[in-house]
Amino acid sequence: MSSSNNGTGNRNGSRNGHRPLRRGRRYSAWSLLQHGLSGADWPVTFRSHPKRDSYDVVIVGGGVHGLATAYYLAANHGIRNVAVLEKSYIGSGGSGRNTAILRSNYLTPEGVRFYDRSVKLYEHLAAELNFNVMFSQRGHLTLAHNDASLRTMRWRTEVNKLQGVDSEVIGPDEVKKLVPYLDTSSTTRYPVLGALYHPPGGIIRHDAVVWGYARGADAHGVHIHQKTEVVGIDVEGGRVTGVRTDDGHRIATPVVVNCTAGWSTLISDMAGVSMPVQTFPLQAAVTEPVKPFLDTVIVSGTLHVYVSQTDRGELVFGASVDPFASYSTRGSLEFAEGVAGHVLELMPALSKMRLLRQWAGLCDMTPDYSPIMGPTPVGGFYVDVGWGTYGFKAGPVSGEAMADCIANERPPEIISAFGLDRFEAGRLVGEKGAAAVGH
Amino acid sequence: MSDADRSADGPTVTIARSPIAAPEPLVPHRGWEVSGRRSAAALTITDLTPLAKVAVRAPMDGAVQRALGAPFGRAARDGAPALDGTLVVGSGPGEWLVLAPVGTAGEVREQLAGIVTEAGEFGTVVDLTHGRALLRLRGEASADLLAKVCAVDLSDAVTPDGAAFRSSVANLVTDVVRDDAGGVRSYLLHCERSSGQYLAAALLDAGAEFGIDVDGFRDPGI
Amino acid sequence: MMLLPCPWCGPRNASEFRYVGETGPRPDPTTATPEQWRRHLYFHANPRGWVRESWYHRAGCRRYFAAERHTATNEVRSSGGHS
Repeated sequence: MSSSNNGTGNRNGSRNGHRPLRRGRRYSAWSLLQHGLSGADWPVTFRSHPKRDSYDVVIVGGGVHGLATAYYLAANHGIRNVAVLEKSYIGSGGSGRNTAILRSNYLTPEGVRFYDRSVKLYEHLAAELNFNVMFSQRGHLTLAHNDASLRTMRWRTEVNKLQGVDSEVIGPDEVKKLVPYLDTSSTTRYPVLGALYHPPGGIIRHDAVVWGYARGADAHGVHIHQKTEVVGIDVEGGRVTGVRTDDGHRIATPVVVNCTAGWSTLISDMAGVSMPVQTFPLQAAVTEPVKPFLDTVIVSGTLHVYVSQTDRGELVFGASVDPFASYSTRGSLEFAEGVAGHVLELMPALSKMRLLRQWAGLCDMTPDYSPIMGPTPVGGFYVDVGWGTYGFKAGPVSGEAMADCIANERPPEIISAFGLDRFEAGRLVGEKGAAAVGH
Repeated sequence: MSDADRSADGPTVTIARSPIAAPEPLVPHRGWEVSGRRSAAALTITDLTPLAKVAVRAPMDGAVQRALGAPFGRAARDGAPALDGTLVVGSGPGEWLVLAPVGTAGEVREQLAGIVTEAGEFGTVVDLTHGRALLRLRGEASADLLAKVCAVDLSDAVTPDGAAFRSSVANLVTDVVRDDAGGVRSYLLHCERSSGQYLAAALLDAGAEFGIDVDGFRDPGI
Repeated sequence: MMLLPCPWCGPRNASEFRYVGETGPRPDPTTATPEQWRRHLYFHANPRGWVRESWYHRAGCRRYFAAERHTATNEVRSSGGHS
């Protein structure tokens, strides 16, 4: 397979000279105004194509990871004969169900380097994709309510700083200045002793990231096939030779990439690859919109809750995964009760607010709360899974790294610690302290 | 727990206290400090923590169970003749809790040890008097109150008089016994000692709309 | 959330239990290689369908039991015995 190694290590996100969307229509204030006044129909964001009988790369899963991988394969490596197969509509899985928080304040040096690269890509994504992804880098606070927690915050801060990531431990008075509505008094059940303050963190419009990558990939000639479920993967002589879809098609391909998150073991089983992954639901909820009063993202590990306020004024709440493995995406009363109780511990003034909606997404949980990326024992079968509850923020860097991995047939250094073989070898990358509920 | 009451010119007296704060007047009762408050409200809550509480573990469905006279899920007052005056609660499979009048824990423990030995089964008998909190809810509205904090079906069909179960009450792991004292609907609730004050407060809060009131300890309590 | 039929206490809310995990054969710890042991510890079947798993009734009888549950519908088809 031909490829051009265009160096994905540029920290300022510059490309190799390919202008994005050179064949598509560029959005700009002028073009939008012009088109709006013309009364003509709006063109689709990405096109629909008939399926080819073969592709150079088939990506299973049309969320941010799958679409970003497709985009960077085309944009960075010139590999355009790519199909993204999505069983429902793009972004219908975790990408459309997360609480849209971005950050890079992780615990391990590998983790910090990895998520920092993603944040840097997100910072330039709107320009690169010519699509407004509404990244609001408003700052991210992880509250510490006991000494052990404060110690972890200091530990994370030091690791972050060594990797060049902006994080600082601040005291309750400084927290109060950032979030006036927060109860920082010493008489609460879990008083705020301090916090890990991470200015580069923030929130983003998650659907826009999916659509932006889809549009970018489409402009480069990638085919996106929605409502197309993979029902079988053909493996011959230890190598992938094709996939079969639910509409009876067989698509020949030497490379299959599993980007299906909560459904990932079902796909890997088709290729005969087993994985240390278990699927758990993760619930979230949103309130009625109110006037803007919260302009930081707040996370409390002790209280198992994270809160942010969207541009529409709604508060978005999340917590930890459901206590048992399941493929169900229903919400539960236990979650609503728990999250409401914990949010009110932090901000008692919210007690009259109304909960509008709750839902769940599926999370592929790994034993060490780190992802599984790269090749597998089956030739040509790659995985970008194990993203658990922290996958959305990693979309861009994962796509970039997986594209590099596929184009150059070896995992790039940035993901070398996340291989599938680490579990049997005992080389786990323990990120639970910074990944769980910290997202 | 116990406290030494030192007075300048008298012998030291040991007083046991419940973890649940007792409303005035405070009176001594067989080595415990209890509330002497009297309430005539239709729905009352009473702290029965001073009662002797002895836990037995032995094989389920064996000779010990037959001797105690209470299978899992039921409470009995007329089981073993040696345990007259006590309430034997089948609180778990192979797990019993015997409730007896204040100050009798020592004798009850001996009786139970004898029963286990005679049955020839491997078992344990432990005095938990000071390790548990015990409350009684009494009144026709007691089921409505309990339904607010416990998900188990409290209707007569599922939990009639004499039924015993363990579940989550106000997010605490709690043993519940339906024990209609004097023909009035009543429940005994029993949890670990450290959670006793919280359980009492949660029940008072849940019972406020029904006009709940605190009633003090009345002998024999069980 | 969902009702789990505890073999001793009867059907109770899932929040009364602790999910232990998929049940399955365990390699002999005295002869297994570290790789085999890690495989047993970390790898799961994770089906979207019926699975046999172990639960602990922490807010009830405090016993373990095995159940068969459909992971997409949370229907529980049988329980009983020891895990």
